[in-house]
Amino acid sequence: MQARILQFMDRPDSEDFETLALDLFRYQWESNPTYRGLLEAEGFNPSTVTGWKLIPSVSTTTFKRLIFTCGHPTLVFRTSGTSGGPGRRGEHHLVDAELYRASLVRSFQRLVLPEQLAGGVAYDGDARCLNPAGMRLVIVAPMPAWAPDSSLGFMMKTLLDVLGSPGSIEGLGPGGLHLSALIETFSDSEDSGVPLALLGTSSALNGLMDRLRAGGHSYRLPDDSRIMDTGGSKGMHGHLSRSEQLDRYAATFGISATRVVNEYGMTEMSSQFYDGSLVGLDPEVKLGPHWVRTRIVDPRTGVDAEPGEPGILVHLDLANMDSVAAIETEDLGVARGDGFVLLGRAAGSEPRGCSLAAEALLRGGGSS
Amino acid sequence: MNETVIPCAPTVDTERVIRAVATAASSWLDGGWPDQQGLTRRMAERCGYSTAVVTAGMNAHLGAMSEAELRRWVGQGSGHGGTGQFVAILPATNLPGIALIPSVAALLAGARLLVKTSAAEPFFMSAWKDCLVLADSGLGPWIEVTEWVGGVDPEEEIRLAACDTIILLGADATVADLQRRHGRRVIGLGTGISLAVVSAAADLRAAASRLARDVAIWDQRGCLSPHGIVLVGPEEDAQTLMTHLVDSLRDMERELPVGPHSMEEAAVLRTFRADLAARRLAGDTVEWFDSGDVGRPRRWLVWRDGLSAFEPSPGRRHVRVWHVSNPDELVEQALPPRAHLQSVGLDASDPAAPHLEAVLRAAGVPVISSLGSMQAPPVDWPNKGRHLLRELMSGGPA
Repeated sequence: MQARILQFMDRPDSEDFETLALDLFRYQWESNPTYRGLLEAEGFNPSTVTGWKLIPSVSTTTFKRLIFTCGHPTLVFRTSGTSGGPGRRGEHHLVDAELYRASLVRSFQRLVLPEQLAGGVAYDGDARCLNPAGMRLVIVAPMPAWAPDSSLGFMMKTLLDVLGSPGSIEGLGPGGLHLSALIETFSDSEDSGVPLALLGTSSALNGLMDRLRAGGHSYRLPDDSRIMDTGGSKGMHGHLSRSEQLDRYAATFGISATRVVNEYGMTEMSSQFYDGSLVGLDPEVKLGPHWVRTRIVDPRTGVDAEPGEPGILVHLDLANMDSVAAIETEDLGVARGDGFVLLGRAAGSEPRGCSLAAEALLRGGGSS
Repeated sequence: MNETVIPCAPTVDTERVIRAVATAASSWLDGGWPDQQGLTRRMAERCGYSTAVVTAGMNAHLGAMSEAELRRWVGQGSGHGGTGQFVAILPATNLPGIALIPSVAALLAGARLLVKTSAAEPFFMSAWKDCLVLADSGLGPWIEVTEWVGGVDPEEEIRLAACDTIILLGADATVADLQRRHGRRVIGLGTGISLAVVSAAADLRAAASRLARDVAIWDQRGCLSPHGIVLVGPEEDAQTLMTHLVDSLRDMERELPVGPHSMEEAAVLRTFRADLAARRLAGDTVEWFDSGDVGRPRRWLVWRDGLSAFEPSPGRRHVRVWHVSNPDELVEQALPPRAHLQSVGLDASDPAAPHLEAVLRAAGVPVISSLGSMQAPPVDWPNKGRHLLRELMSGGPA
């Protein structure tokens, strides 16, 4: 199964998505007792699955209660726990990280380093890039050495190992920002004209910009430089709107909005989505790789929303071979072009009378 | 924005306010407001209720506004601190009529009134003003109902700066934000939680029937809406209570149909249901019954589990039944954090109700009400523990 999926990643014409998805469902039905148990408890009949859209999905909230795995896990990613209240963290168990690595590297190259793919890229049988078209990567995000269960950390480390060219640095540690090293790297890039890719969570990048500006530092990084941020894309960026965030990047690093990519991912998935800024597409639209398909489902009916209508996002990620391929999120979105526009989280997105919402109570909110 | 020039009259006569309020309320109960059906329909459509629920909810609000009740309320206050005050009321929620009691309190205290309506429910307070003026045209200059975009429109700061007291009903974050900007002048009436308690000695079928009404009115969106019901007694009685509640919610659907779910609500309810299934598979003692809808929004759900601690409902007629063995456990384990606790409903048929009431009052529960009328509190009920009229008559926020 893994070899077929890897082959499909590199050669989309090797077989059709539907066949692969249905075979993967059958594999997970047989190999994942939790998935099967959950479906059987609902009276689900697997013979009704005749197309990829009929593959039953599992809510991300379920990953906070149950362990889904098709074998003995060797790697576990955990959610930050911010959305389910204290003490409840979702877990994504991987038997083998190879598909995860393969997926993240290919998507990153396609949508964050697209011009470097122009000459073609080849991979070995373990999904290692044979001719890595790298770039100086500056990472301001958790790393596996001190955040071993962070899927974002795993992703960043993988990118650093596979695509990071000399001069790449880890700009964040358990004690905070490595400010001197970051300043040195930005200055060197500005002086030498060697571009860099600054990758991090929106909150960490905001913390970095606060520190830089407090110290009177701002840069005009080389034109090919870029930023990939993640988190905070679900509605507001903390206290900042997206346009304010982009303005801050431009003022601090001299990197314009057209060179900023927002990543949307989740612990329960093995693949990521990016907006199309760097490939000349609508920056509001999140794009996934061809081994992921997304349904927009009307939560009131449980069926696909009408074209152009919003709904909850349900992803089918073939790279999720070790757990569950079909993941139902708590995010709302609407289809546009080849992807979707993220509208935000469902919970707390609208007024709810004067009754305290469950999420607010779980977060300890509502002090009045 | 409409500008109303408000004359500097010395004060409005309390008796006039009482008579006008009681007349307008009585007129609603008689179906006598201008275009009352149209108003009800607009509120229902904008806020996502059935018209039957809006009618029942507004009847509950306005049914408390009799002359005798209003006089009793006024009798609890003292002083003329409200005279000449300018009070703003900001109902920032989708609960129709939520600003009714604060607005009456302000008028009874002798204050001029500015009501900024919510975009989520812009209709009721305008109609309320019109009906007060119909009852007594002299009240017109004392009430201005207007709208602006809360937190965004620069007009907001200008208008609120002119007010002596600002009463905000809405989300806790909105309350905190306004208090940060306007300090002690703000009376924040944020969100709250209510629940029901019944002992095994009660008529469980009757209690379930009354609870279903409290759940159905405002579809569990109000701070007086019960999230669930605790049975004090043996676990098997909780099972019986659950069965009765399922029947009652099914019956109530005919009298007070649930409103259409928004996309966001439906998504939250879907996630909640998925979590129940996961809990069951994870080994928790959890069972549920629901309206059995396929391909359309679920109209109600009742769930039961083996935990004694409070758990919030996602709303929209999703009701939890749980049990504790005795009143001590009720207080120690089953109540939500006191800062959030708004009211507890007890059942009239329950012989243990007096004892439970004493226990709950000793535990600091601010409002004890009767099942079946949890949504129809008296005019002087202490929302978030505050006595609005008394505060306003004393000159402002305590």
